[in-house]
Amino acid sequence: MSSNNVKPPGWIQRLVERFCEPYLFEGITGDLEELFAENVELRGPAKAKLLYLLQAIGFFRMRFKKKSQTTSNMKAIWHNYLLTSFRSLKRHKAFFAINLVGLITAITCSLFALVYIYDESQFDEHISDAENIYRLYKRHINETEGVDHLTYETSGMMGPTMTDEYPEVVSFSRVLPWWDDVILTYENKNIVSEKLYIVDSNFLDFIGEDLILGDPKTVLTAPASIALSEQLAKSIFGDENPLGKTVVGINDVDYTVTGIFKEQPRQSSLQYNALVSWSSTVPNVGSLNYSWMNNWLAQGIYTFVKLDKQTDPKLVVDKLPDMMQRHFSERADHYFLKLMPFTKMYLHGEDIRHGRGFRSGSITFVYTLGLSAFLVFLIASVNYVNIMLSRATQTKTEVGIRKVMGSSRRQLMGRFVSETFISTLIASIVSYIIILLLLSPLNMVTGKEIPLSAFYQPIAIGAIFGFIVLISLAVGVYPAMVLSSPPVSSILQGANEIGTAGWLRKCLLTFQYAISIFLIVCTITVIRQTNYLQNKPLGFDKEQVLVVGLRNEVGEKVDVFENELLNHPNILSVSTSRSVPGGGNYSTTSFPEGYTDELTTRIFGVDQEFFETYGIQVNAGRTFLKGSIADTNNFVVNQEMVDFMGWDDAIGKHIRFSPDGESYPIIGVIDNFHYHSLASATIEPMVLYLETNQAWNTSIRIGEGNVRETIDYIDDVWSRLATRTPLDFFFVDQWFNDQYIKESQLLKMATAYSFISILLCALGLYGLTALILLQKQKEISIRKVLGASLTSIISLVNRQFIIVISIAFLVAAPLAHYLVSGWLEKFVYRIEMGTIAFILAGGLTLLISLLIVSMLSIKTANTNPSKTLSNE
Amino acid sequence: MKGTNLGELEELIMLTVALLYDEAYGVAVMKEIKKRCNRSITISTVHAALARLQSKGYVDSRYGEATSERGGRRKHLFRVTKAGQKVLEQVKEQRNAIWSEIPSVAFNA
Repeated sequence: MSSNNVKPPGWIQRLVERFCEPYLFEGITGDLEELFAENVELRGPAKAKLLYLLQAIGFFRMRFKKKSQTTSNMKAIWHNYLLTSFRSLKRHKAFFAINLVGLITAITCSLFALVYIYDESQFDEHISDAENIYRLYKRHINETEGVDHLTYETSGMMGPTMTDEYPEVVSFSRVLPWWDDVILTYENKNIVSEKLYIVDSNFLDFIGEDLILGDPKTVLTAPASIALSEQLAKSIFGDENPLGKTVVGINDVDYTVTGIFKEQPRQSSLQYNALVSWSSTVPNVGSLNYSWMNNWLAQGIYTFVKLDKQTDPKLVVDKLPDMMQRHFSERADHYFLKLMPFTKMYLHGEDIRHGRGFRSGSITFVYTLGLSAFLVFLIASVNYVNIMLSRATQTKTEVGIRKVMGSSRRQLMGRFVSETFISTLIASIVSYIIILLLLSPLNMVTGKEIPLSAFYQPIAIGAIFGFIVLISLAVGVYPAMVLSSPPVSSILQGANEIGTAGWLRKCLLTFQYAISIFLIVCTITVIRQTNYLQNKPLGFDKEQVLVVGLRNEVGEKVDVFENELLNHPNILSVSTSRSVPGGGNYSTTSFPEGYTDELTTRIFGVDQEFFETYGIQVNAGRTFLKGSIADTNNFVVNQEMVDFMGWDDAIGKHIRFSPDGESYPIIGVIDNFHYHSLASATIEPMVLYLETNQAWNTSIRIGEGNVRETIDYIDDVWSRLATRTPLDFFFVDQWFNDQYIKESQLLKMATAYSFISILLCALGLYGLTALILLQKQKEISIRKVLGASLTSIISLVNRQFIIVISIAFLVAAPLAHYLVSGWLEKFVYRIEMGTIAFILAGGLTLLISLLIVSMLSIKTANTNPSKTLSNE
Repeated sequence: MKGTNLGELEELIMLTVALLYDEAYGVAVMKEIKKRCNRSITISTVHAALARLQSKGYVDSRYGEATSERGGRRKHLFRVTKAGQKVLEQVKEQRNAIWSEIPSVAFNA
């Protein structure tokens, strides 16, 4: 053969050699090499090597496999190892239990976090073409007024204009989620839709949803068309064919059902079950006649655009200031339009005000959960390693004898890793069961709806196996290495401590404490901030005020309603208005006297009783006269307006709402009060005007009497006046608390995790101290015999733990400070970081630790020295 | 030991081993089958079949002399055993018997 110099790849040969029966090996490689030499001649070396590999792969089958070297002797050894592992777990029940509890907690926390995060990441996956869809949002800046926030609110003209003017914008679709529940009436059935959107005719096609019934081309084209979800249609029409039927909906207009679509899945940002055609709102076309939805000025529409595949969204964003300049120059300096990718909208849009009707997650929460779970996992791992290391003294005789009998280091490590493996296996099974049992309370706390089936998915099962392998290897191997390390001579001679383990154990302990202190500081701060938000004075008396949302039905008879209510002794005051804290108010621009620019102003339309019902303090002048409409052309403003304008005496100053409109005088100044969530909004300058013909909400102040009975009375009055609609009300203080739902979820989770972390730390400390004391028993006994006092012995043991905790504190405190102050930054109204959280965290850890250590050392110190010293 | 019946490929390989007599090793068997039946079999399949036949006792094997070819590796040579010969003859007889009794109309229709 001429090409003897070309050799087949050696690594393949070695693999084959390792795998194949030695007797067959020579024949096999010989044949392979013969073919290889031929192929080199025929097809060149490169191809020959590839063929060699492919042919060699064919030999990796069971028939050629080396008969296992694991002889029956090896089996016996492994059998023995497993047996000893079980026995040792059984014998050291306390430590086994500590390890097991630690592992179970860690695996449960991590598994839940994993499934939660996975679930969050799966949102909006069902929407085809999602990667080309963007949601328009804007940064609203106004330096003179101190406004700077992100919001999805856009005007109805932005989407159409972008699509007209820029070829890379393929299409747009606008959405207006209706502010309120809508009652759909068919014959004598009234069904509530809490998720109604008004959308452009292309909406369903835009997000790639198919219709079950109806013509996709025309479904939402005609004015007063409505498309319903399958479920909603079923509850309204039963088994009748819904197409072409009419339902009474928004503003008591008749809507024709033109299509039926599938329910949105749970994991969707878009939440709708009824869609009304946009054309219904266009003036002169549809009966809703909302000109504001179709102009530049009003900002209340949500806009989605679809870009061409090849387009870089940044380039489109760069063109938008120019569009604003040309069409809406008044706001070009205040509104900066941006695009949020649809796929990122759910998790990454939490800082953007998103309005009712959309579901949104929180990346902060996801990160916090992931980090907390990871930290708890670390603490538990450290516990495990620490306790295993401390057992070196107990296992060394076993190791010594096994070594003498000829066990290799690797086999011995296997012996200890198998012990970890058994513990982890048990812990994983228990964790899995715990999670399945705890799922619904966990869902409640985190505000999610993870179904049970999520835990049967490959990801969850895979995670369990992952944990078992990971923990067995990552956590089990190091102690196994240490435990199996000592040379036979030193073991059998009876040398005491194993060298390296001591300082390492202290490092691990420090690390563990640092994590724990860190988590406690974070939790305390979150608790303080949430309490602060919930208890901050709102400028009015929020307790015992409830707001009834009026429907047209009762709105028409509101006088009767009010009078009936006032007949009840426990109803102190009643006010009917468009605006209430938490709803019905909006912002616009005004032109106060002496201010050349336009001023963003919060507008409240209220009646004469509003101030009394909410207990709002009057700072100057007076409010609207009761029982009279004489004040229709007068304004009341809030203190913020006066402060912003720098007026000494606001009474008599004039305000107008358009540059050439009528101006009206101010008759009173009231104290600032909050009308939005304190988490994001400041108080703006406010104008309150008298409005008695907009019966949207009735606010009712009730007295100290029986609340339940009073509500029953209200309901009774309501149902006498309303036939179609049920009573719908909320307590104002409850409404404000509901605004902090994200914070309170974060709070609950942070509390749970830091509680678990400190528990695990305490558990680990308990185990560690017990083991150390076991080793030091003789030392302590001798000290006692020589006359040491109980306190000196306790302080001897405690001293090192105090040092450990101090170092941990020094590491954790700055880190926690940095992270938490970053979180606080996001709040307009926030607490000072202060030192209280640090003092509490440090103190609490120190106290618990000293308590555990002292208890254990007292027990040891109180044993009779003769007992411990006698058995040598 | 598994059943004694012979697979089609096993039969073919045994016949080839008998044909090649003293030169029957993996590559040679593979090439002979390719030449005669125009059938491509991978080398590992040949080895697997031979190993299976050996475990059934129909072939036995030895190693040949080392040469400078094949990276200095000896050939793993196979030979059909008495038992193998018997089973091959059995198969042949069974087939012949069936052939002889097929009515002539069966293939003429």
